[in-house]
Amino acid sequence: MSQTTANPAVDPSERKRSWLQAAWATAVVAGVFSVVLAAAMVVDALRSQAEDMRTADRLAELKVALRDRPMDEGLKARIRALDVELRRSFFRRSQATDTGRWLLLAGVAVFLISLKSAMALRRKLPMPKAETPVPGLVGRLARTSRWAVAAVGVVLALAAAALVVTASSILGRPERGEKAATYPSDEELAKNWPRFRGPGGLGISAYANVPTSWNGKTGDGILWKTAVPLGAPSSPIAWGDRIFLTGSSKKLLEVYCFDAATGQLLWQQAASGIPGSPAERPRTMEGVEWAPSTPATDGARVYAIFSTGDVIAHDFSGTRVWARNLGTPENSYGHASSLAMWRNLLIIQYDQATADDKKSKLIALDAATGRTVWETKRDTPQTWATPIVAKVSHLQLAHSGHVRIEDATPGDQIIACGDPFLCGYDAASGKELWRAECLGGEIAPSPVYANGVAYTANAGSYATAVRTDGSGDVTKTHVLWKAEDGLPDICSPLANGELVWALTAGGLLTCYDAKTGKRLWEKDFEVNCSSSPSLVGDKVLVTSEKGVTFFVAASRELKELGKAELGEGCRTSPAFLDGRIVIRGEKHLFCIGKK
Amino acid sequence: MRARSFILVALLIAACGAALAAEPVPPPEFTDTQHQVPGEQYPQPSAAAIQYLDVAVLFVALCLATFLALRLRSRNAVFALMVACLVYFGFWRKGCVCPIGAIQNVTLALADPHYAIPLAVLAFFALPLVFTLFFGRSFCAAVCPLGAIQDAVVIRPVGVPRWLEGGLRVLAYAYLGGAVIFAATAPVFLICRYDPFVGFFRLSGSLGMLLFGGGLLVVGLVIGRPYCRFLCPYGVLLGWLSRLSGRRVTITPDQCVRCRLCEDACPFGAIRKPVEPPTPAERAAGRRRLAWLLGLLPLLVVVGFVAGGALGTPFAKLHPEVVQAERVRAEELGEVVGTTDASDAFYESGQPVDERYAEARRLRSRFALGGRLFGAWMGLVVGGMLIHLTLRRRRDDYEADRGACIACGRCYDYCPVELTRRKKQAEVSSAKNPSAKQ
Amino acid sequence: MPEDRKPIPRREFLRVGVRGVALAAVVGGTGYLATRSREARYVWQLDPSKCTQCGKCATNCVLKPSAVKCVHAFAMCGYCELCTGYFEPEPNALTTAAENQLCPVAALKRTFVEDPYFEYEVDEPLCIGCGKCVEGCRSFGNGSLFLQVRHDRCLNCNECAIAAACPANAFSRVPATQGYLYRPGYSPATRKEG
Repeated sequence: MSQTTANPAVDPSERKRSWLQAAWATAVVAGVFSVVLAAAMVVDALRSQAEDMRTADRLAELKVALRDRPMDEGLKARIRALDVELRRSFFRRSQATDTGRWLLLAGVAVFLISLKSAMALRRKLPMPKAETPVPGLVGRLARTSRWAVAAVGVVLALAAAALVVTASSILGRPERGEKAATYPSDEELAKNWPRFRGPGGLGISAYANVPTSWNGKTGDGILWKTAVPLGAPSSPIAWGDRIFLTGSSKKLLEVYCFDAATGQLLWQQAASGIPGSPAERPRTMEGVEWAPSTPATDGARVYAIFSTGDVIAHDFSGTRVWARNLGTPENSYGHASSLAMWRNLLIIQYDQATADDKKSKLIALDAATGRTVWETKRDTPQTWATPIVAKVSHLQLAHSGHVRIEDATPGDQIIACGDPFLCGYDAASGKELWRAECLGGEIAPSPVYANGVAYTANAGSYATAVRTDGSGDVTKTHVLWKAEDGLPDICSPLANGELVWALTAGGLLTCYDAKTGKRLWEKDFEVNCSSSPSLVGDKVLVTSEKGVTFFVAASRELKELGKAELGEGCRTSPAFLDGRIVIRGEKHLFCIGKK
Repeated sequence: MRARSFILVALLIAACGAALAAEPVPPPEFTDTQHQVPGEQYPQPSAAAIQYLDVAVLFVALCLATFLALRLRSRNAVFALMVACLVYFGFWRKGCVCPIGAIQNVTLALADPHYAIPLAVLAFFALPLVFTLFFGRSFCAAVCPLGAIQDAVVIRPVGVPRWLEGGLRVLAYAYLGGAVIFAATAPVFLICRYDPFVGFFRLSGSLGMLLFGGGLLVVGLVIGRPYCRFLCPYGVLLGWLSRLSGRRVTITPDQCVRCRLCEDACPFGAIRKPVEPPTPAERAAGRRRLAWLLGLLPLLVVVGFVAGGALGTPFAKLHPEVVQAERVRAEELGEVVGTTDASDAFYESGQPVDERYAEARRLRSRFALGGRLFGAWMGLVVGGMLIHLTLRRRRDDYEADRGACIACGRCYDYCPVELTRRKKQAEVSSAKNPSAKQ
Repeated sequence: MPEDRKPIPRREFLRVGVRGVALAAVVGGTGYLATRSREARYVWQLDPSKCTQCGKCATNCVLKPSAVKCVHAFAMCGYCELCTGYFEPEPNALTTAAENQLCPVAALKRTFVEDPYFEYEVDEPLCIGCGKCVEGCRSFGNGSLFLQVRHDRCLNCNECAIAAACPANAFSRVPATQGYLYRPGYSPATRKEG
C-alpha cells in the first residue's frame, strides 16, 4: 500500500499504474473480507440454529420431566437458566446478523467500487483490425440464431413435458368430466332385497307368493340350509342369485356371499387392514358383537359396516373395491344402524355419544369410491335405528287435502330417527328439510313411510305420524297423530298406507289406523321378538326369538292365520324373494320355498 | 359474584383438560379496583402519500435519465443517477413495488374485476412504458433497481454470441407469458416470488432466493445484466415499445465513420454491425424460408394451444387450494399417513370435501386454459422469432439495436465523432465563458 | 444513394403510426384501470377466523421477526387466572416462572388486577408471531388473543411470502383504510358500545 502514495514528479502513466495497484489491492482485501464474512455468517447461522434447536429440545424435555416431578426445585432452576440462555442467544444472534449484513454490504460495495475503478483505469480504446468482409456471414449467423431459438423452444417444451409427466393428480381429470354415476332402477330395487327390510327399508315384500308353511325341524318347505361361519344379528340381503351376510368374532369381521339357488358359500372376506380402524375393538352389547348392521347392495357391489366404524365394499366376486374407517363410533352398545342407499350414495346414520358432543351425523359416501359426498351434522345422541329412503310424492297428501297440488313437489328424502327429532333430509345434498319432535329414550326402531307420511314409534315416547312435506320444525304443524299404545323398543313398525303396526320386544302387536292413529286391535303373542314385522301380500309376519313365525291378516280386524317354525332361534329380519324367504337363524341361513 | 362462579367453572373445565370448547368467559367487571380495561393499538399503514412520492420520484428519475442519456450524453451522469435510484428504490423502498412486478397487478386487475389496482402501482406500470415509447429504454439504464444492481457489478463483460443471445431471449418471453397466466388465474405472483434481487434490497431472504440472486450477480460480473437480457418480462414489453421510439440512443451524434471502435463497447450486446444487402440468391432463399416459416407460425400456435392443456395439472400445483385438496384426497384414500397444516386447516374449516374437490377441479380447468394460452403464446414467440431472424435489413452504420439498447451510454465514450463533438463543445463553452477557465 | 434512402421515410411513417396506437393502448388501458381503482392502497391482512396457528407467520415473513404479531383484544378477555394462552398445558404453578409459560419468548405479560383476575398484555417488540398463545386461548378461552399483520412493520410486499405459505388461505389484500380483521363479533368499534 506504501506504493500508492502519489508522487507529483511521477509521470501520468506511472501514477495511473500506482492507482491501479491500489485499486487491485483494495479489491482483493474487500473481496476476501466479504467472502470470509459471508462464510462466517452462514456458518454462525447454521451452528446457532442447530444449537438453539438442541437447547429448545432440552427445554421441552425438562418441562416434561417437571410434570413427573413437580416439586423438583433444581429442575425448575435449570429450566429457567436454559430459558434465559435461549433468549439471550436469540437476541445476540439477531444483533450479530444485523451488523453482519451491513458490514457485508459495505464490503461488497468497496469491492465493486475498487474493481470497477481498476477496470476503468485499465481500459484502453480498442484497436480493431481492418475489416475483412466474409461473404455469407450474416446469413450463417441468422441460421445459427434460428437454430438456437428452435433449440431453446424445444428445451422449454421438453421441460414442460417433464413437468406434465411428473405432476400427477388424484382428483381425476377435469377435462373428461365426472363419469355419470350408475345405480339400479327402482324396478330392479323392487325385485330384489337390497338392504335392511328390503326396498325402501319398509319391510314389505314385492311378492305375495311366498310360502306360509314350513318346518325347519323336519325340513319341510326348506329349500336349503347352510351354516354361517360367524354369527351376528345382521339380516340377509339378496340381489339376483346372490345373498349377502355379515358376521363377527373377537378377531374377525367378515362379509359372506351365498348362492341363492343352492345356499353354497361362494366367498367370505375379512374386513381387515383398513387404515384408521381401531386397534382395540369398541365396547358392544353381548350377543350383538361387532356386526349387527345389515349390509346393502346396488347390484354391482356389496357394502358392509361394522361396529368398529369400518365400511367396506366388495364387488360380487368378492374383490375388495374400497374400505375406510369413519372414526371409531362412540356408542355404548356398539354401532348398530344398518346401511341404506340412494342412487349411487351409501347412506350411513352415524349417531354417537351425547347430543352435546355434536358427533352424530348422517354421511353419504360415493358407492364407487367410498369418498364422502356429503355429511350432515345431527343433534342427537347415539341411536341404533336405520334410516329409510322414501320417494316422497305429496300427491297423496294433495288428494287428501293436506297440501295444494301445486305445492306437492316430489323428491327423494332420507328419513332418520333421532332423540328427540324425526328428521327428513334431501337425499341428494343431505340438507335437513324438516324435523318433528316426537321421539325420546334409546332409539332403536327405524321409521317407515307410506303415502307422504312417515311413521315412527319408540318406547318412552309415542307412535307418531308426520307429514313429510314440511320444512323446518314441523312439530306443531305436520304431526298427524300421536298414540301411546304398544310402543316398540327394538322392532321397527310397519305401515301400508292404511294401517300401521308396532311390535314390542315382548311380542305385543298393535294395529293403528294410519289416518287417525286410533288403535284398531292388538295381539299378544307372548314371545320375545327382535325381528321386525314384515308385510307379505295381505299378511303380516311376526317372527319370535325362538324362530316361530306368526301370520296375521293385514286388516282392520284381528285375524290370526297360523304359524310356522324355523327350528332355530332368530333375531334377524327375513328377506323376501320371488316365492322364497331367506332368513338367518342363530347358526344357519335358511331358504324357505317350494322345490 | 355470578361472573366469578363462571370463571371457577371455566377454570375447572380447563384444568380437567376437557376437550370441549367452553362457553366464553364473560369479561369481568372490576368492582373492587375499578380497573379500566385497556384498548389495544392498531398502527395504521404508512400514508398513501409515500406511494405518490414514489411515483413522483419515478417520474423525475425518468425525465432525468432521458435527459442525461439523450441530451447530455454522459455515461457518468447516467451511472450516478442509477446508483441514486438503486439506493432509493432498492435499498430504501426495498424494491417493492416495481414496474416489473406491476405487470401482474395490471393483469390481475384486468382478469379479476374485484381487484381494484392501486393508482400508484398503475403509474409504476405505465410511466416507463410511455417514456420508452418516446425516448427508448432510459428506465432500464438508470431507474430500475434490478437493472442497477446488475449494472453495478459489471466488471469485465465478455460478449455472448449473437445466436445464443437470440435463443436465450425466448426465456424472457416464456417468463412474461407464465407471469401473466399465473397472475390472471391463481393469482400467484411468480415475478415477485422468484425476484432474485429483492433479498439483497431487504438484506434478508430465503437461502434459495439469495443463491439465485447471488448466482445471477456472479454471472453478471462477466455477462452484463443477465436478468435484464434473458429473463426480465418487463424488458420484453420495453423492448417492443423501444422499437417504436422516436428519439433514442445513437452511438454517434453525427455521421458514422465505421471505425469499428464501438464494436465491443456494449456489455449487453446491443450494438449492430453494418449489414450488406443480400445477394439475389440469398434473397430468393430468404423468401422461400420466410414463406414456409409463415406457414409454420400458425401450426406452432395451434400445437402449443392443444398441448398446453396438459400443463393444467402441474400449473395447478402452485395453487395452495389445489395442493390442499390433493392432500385431503390422498389422506382420504389412505395413500399418505398423517395430516399436514393445510389438511388440518381444511378439516377445521368444516367445508364438505366434495365442495373443495370441485373447487380444485374448477381451478385446475382454469389452469388448463391458462396452459393452453401459454402454449399458444410460446408457439407465437418461437415462430415469430424465427420469422424475425429470417428478415434481413440493410444497415449502413454501427448502431444500437432499437429493442435491446438500454441507453446506458457506455458506447458514447468509444466514438471518435462523439469525442470530437465534446471537444468542440468544450471549446465553444470556454470561448463563450472565458472566466470559467481561469 | 437517394434510391436507397427511399424506404426509410416510409418505415418512419409506419413507426409513428404504430407508436400512436401503442400510446393509445397504454394510456387507454391505464385510464380504464384507473377509473376502476377505488382504493389508494391495499395491505395484507390475515383473517383470524380462518387462522389455524400453524406457526408459518413466524417463519415465512421476509422480516425477522415477523410483521405478524399477536394482538390482545382486552375487552374479549375473561381475565382468567388460569390463562391457557399464557400457561403451559399442565402448568407446574400459576406463576410467571419460565417453566410455566407457553410463550417461547416471554412476550406475554401477566399482571394481577384483583382477585381472581389477571391482565395479559402482549409485549409487541418481543412477540415473534408464532401463535402458540393464540392456539391456547382459542382452545379453552375466549379467543381474545389473535394474530394480525402489524402495518407499522409490514413491508407490504407485492406478493406476501406468508400468504403464499399460509395453509388456511387466511391472508388477503384489504383496503388500507380498514387494515385489520377481527374475531367474529368483535371489533374495537363495537367494544366501546358494549
